[in-house]
Amino acid sequence: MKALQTAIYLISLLCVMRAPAVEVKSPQERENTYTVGPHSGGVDLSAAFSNKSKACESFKEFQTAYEGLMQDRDLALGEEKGARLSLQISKGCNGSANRFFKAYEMMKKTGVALTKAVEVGLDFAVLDDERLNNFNEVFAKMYLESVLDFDFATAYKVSFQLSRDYEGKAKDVREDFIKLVKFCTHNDKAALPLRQCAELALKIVDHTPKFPGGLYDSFEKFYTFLRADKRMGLSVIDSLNLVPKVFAYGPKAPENFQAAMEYALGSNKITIDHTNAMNLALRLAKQSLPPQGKEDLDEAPKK
Amino acid sequence: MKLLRSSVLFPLLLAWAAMAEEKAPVPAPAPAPTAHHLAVESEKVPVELEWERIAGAKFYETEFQNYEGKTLAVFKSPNNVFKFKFKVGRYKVRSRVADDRKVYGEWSVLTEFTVQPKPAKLPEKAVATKGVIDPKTLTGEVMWHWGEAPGATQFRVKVTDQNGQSVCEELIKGFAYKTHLKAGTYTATLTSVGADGIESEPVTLPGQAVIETVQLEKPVFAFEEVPDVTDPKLKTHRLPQTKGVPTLRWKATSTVADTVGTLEYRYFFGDEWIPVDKFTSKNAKEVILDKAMKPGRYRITAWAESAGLKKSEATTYEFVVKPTSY
Repeated sequence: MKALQTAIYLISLLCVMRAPAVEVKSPQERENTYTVGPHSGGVDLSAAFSNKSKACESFKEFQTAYEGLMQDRDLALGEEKGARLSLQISKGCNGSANRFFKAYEMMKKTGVALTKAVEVGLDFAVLDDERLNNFNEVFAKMYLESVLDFDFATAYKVSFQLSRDYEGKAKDVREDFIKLVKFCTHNDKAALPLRQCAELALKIVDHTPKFPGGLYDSFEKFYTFLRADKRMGLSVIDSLNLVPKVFAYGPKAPENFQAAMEYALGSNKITIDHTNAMNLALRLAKQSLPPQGKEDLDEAPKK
Repeated sequence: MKLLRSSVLFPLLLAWAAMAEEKAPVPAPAPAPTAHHLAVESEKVPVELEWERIAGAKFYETEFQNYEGKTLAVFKSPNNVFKFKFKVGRYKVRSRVADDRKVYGEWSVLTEFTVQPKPAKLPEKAVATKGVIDPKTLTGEVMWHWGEAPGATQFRVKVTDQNGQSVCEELIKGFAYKTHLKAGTYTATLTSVGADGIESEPVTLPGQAVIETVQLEKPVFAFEEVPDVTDPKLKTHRLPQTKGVPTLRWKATSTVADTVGTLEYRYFFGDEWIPVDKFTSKNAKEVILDKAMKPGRYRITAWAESAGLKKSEATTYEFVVKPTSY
């Protein structure tokens, strides 16, 4: 009984200690978005303590952070403040100091106020490397004049959306976003204006967590169907706007949508006009998700 | 006779009759030089000469001589006041009186006497000006005008500023004087000048010339057009670059004013603008903002200024400097 109480105490202590400043899920929780297993959402303490390689090198992180901060002439922190900040940084466990400096240096180089740059650094110190990569890569691509050349506010906001605030596998959304922007701005593909493209890409990557390994391949296939099949008669914008509507229902939805359209428009087994074919396809796309209780079904498709 | 002769006094009052007339000048809103003419040297001007009254004297005589002693004219009067016309010049005069038998006494001693040209007739408002300076020359045009003056072959105009300092003085053969003056308040005095450079008493021309300074036009920055990154069909503008450094150029460069300004820096999420640099165009057509290299937000505030002119309103422009890589 006493052992159980101790275990509960340790678990709660660990949870408190690891709680980041920003109310976000832990890296493990987010990265396990697709994992449905008995251990998901919990922490196996015995496993954590027995696996030495995963235990936190807290002193090493503290030391790296402290020595790095002491060398930063811009911050010019005294030893006490430096130690306090290093302690906060080291809470992010292994790699936290490195993550802090990567995010902090990037913001500093951009011209962000030092206090804010420290704040951003702390955000990522307590997250994982993938999320930091998302932030750095997305921000760099969106902000640099030689790449997408967005304004600071947009680049900053989107970078956080796709990293710190993203509920899903970081790598997937990073790759999806970059590939989608490349796709929709490319002259041979959609050739959309940058802002419009980025906005659409953001709408689409909202659904990345539903697609294990990312949605780009499904997107490309689905978009090609929408644009290549003359029976669809959809413009570039219409096609791109349709994507998130269908992808909202998971990886099976585009497949169901496409099959329904082909069946409705290409076979003689059902006589249906284009509008109703679209309605049917969308409805079937919506039904791609497993039922989650009683749902109010729409009225029957119009003939 | 001796008594009479000895009683003949020197002229006490040499007054211009016209002076009284000038108390009610005729309004003359604009100069009309063609209506006036300058005096020729032979022109005679009204003279009033008053001797001291002599008891018992019934007849008075005044003799005008030139400096060689030649008698030029003798005027008679039943009293001690003589009114006549005579040429502008320097003379010697003497007088004598007679009793009711017309028996004259001795001449008085010769006294120097100057016949002056008369002051000009003055309009009600003698000055005309737009009241503001021309930004290109920093001066405003002012024109004074006046009427003719008997005996005056030319006029001396003296302009003084609000501090009583003389700013210009000129001899004018005409009835108007045009000049260009800096911002300020000015008055002019006019002296009629006749033969031999003999001058009248100066009179102040009515009205003040008030010239105000003007505000310079605010500088307009020149931008270069670049495709809008958010939509290539649209154009956006930015500061021109000199080897990658933002450069400030003006659409129209002023010949009289310098463009002066400040460059400030602000961090993203920063609370305040931090002064980075001050610049002045002097004669340059552009200012290379080499202090705007550090990534972040910048603000340029620039205005035109020049001595004697009100500085312009400020033009501001904000821009962002991005890193070239991460």
